[in-house]
Amino acid sequence: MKKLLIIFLLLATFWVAATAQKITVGAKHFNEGYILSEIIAQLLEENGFTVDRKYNLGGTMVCFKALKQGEIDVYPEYTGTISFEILSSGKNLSVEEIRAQLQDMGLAVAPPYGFSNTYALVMTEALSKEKNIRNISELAQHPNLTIGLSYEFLKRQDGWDNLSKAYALPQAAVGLEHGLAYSALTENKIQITDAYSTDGEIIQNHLTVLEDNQKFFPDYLATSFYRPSIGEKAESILRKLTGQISESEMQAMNAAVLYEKKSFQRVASEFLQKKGFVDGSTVETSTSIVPDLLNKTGVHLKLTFLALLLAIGFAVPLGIVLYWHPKPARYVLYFVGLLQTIPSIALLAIFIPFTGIGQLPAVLALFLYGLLPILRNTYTGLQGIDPVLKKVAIGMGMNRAQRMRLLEFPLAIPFILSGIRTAAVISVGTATLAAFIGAGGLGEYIVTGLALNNSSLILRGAIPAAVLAILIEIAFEILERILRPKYLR
Amino acid sequence: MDPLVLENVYHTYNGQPALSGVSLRFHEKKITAVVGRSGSGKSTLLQVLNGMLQPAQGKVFFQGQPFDYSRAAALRLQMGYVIQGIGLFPHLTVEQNILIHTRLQRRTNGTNPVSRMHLLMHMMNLPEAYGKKYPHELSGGEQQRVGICRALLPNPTVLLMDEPLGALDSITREDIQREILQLQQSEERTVVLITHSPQEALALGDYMVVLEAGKVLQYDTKENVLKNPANALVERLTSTRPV
Repeated sequence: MKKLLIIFLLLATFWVAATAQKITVGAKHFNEGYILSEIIAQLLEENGFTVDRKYNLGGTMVCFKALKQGEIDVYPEYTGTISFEILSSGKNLSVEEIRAQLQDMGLAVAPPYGFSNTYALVMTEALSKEKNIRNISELAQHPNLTIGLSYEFLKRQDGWDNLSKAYALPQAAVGLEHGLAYSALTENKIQITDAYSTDGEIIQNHLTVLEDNQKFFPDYLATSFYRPSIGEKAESILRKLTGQISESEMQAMNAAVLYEKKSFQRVASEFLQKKGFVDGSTVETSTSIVPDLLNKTGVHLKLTFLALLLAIGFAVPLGIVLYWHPKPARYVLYFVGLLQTIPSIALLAIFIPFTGIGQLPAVLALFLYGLLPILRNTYTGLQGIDPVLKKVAIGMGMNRAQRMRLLEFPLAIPFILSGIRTAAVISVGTATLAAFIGAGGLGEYIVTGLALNNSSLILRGAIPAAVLAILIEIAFEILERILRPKYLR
Repeated sequence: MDPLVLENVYHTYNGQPALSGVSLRFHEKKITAVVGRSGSGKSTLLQVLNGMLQPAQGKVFFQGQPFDYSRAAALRLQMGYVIQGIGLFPHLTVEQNILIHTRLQRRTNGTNPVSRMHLLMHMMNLPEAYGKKYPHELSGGEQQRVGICRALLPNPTVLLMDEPLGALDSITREDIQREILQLQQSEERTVVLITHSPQEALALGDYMVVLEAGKVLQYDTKENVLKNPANALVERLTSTRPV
């Protein structure tokens, strides 16, 4: 007995030791999020940690819940976002205040990287030099400049109204679509617009960020948001990034991914080399497309078919039970139909508090989507059987189970199959969205491509997903032909 | 012992009285034809006999015992059942249809079901090659012959038929009537035949029950019913002459 206990304890220690070395890095679903996460991941790997990357995690709430649940150990976040969205404090908190409040949740933030990704006013570099404008206060002396702002910035609390009051700016601002603002600037139709301070466009379009010399804009300081359970050593590695990334460096990295079409892995490793955190010999691991595509397709099919099998295993027996006890059938079908109307992204997110992120919530969500077509077709298929046949079956002495096995179920098979086919096609399509909650699959290309504005990456996921849907249709058509009862041929 | 007995049975169907005080003792190993107009309660009577309907009042006896509705399915296994709609299972071949009984209960008597099937098919003039066909490949008359073979496979003590030939043309109907009579000669059994056709009742029945508005107007041998009809309505209902 004692021996067993010792072995168990030893195993437990090994297990703890083994898992302690592994750190899961999450990423917010946008360009800068990927780059910063990859910097953290590579830096940890360089220092001997095994890193599990769970990128494509959708928005703030998905990332935060995943961190709180321990699904991920660290991801880059902004102090303003933590203050307003996560802690709902109503005002922008300092790093120290944030740290104090997070302590109760068992979470922590590292000292900021250095840059703040907040709103900023920008103008062309040329004009800024010509008029000698470097900060927002100096704008007051140039009342003739045209200011064109995004509609959101015009309305926001930390937007134009309060900004112009704070700096006593004389200009009136016009609203315009943000996507058009940069070309309007370079064509000199407007002279000033708003931007995020780390936008890659700033470098691409040779713009200057005007200094917020009165500190009007709240800080959105980027930092590592993590679980202290990663350990002292890992924490000290995260602290290495303190003050290392300036706004212009972040702009350059964003631009490198968006405009030079470099991979964010490469941009991250170049940054770490430049800073001397890794030696230059680190070879970039470029995954070749085909095995990666096959791998993701495999995950995609696994998600789809697991969910489909679950849905069949649940909906077909339920359909039979409802056929036997039709009173609640309307309500059950109504409820299952209601599930269908939940937007897929929401349905995927619903499970995160219970199951964490990854494949489990994805399979559950796909399972729920598959229920309706299978259940409805099973039920209506059984209901639609010629009453004469049922009468004869009862009259000759078949009991309920015999009627189901010998008569009703075989006759309902074509209906049930077409329900399964519908569910399979829905499932393959919806599975692409599962990437948002870290389940992998072909959606990973699409989600990453959306974040990086890279349409070829989007197509790399979208085309195989569409092909899969078509192949499944064909496969079911063949299956239906094989299983089609001879009397229907 | 008469295998089917009704004692003072009352039943309403959709609020209408369908059977009002029916007492009948069906004679063993004879064919009893039940005639009457639509709505006279003929079909209700048959469903009461095989336990698909439990009468509101009165008693049903099967083989001397009060009908046990908790074992209805098991009891029905001993009653052949043939209806106008035939109800062959479309996904099964003719052979599989006829042999369906072998999948419902373990056989107790020694006869080989396949050789019994061939015997029945032979007596109903069905070529053996039809065994592999599917119901939709057969004519209406052939389908009903298969239906009768299916009902008779387990050699049931009683056979209940509800307008079995109602949808067939007159030539086919007469052919099948002849086949049914031949079968009855070789394996005597208690048959209850529901029909609206006096011709069929006279051709097949040993006894006749005349039903009207849920009441038995007359129950006697067919000869007596024809010779001494209880009233004018009975005479009309049993007349084969066009009125």
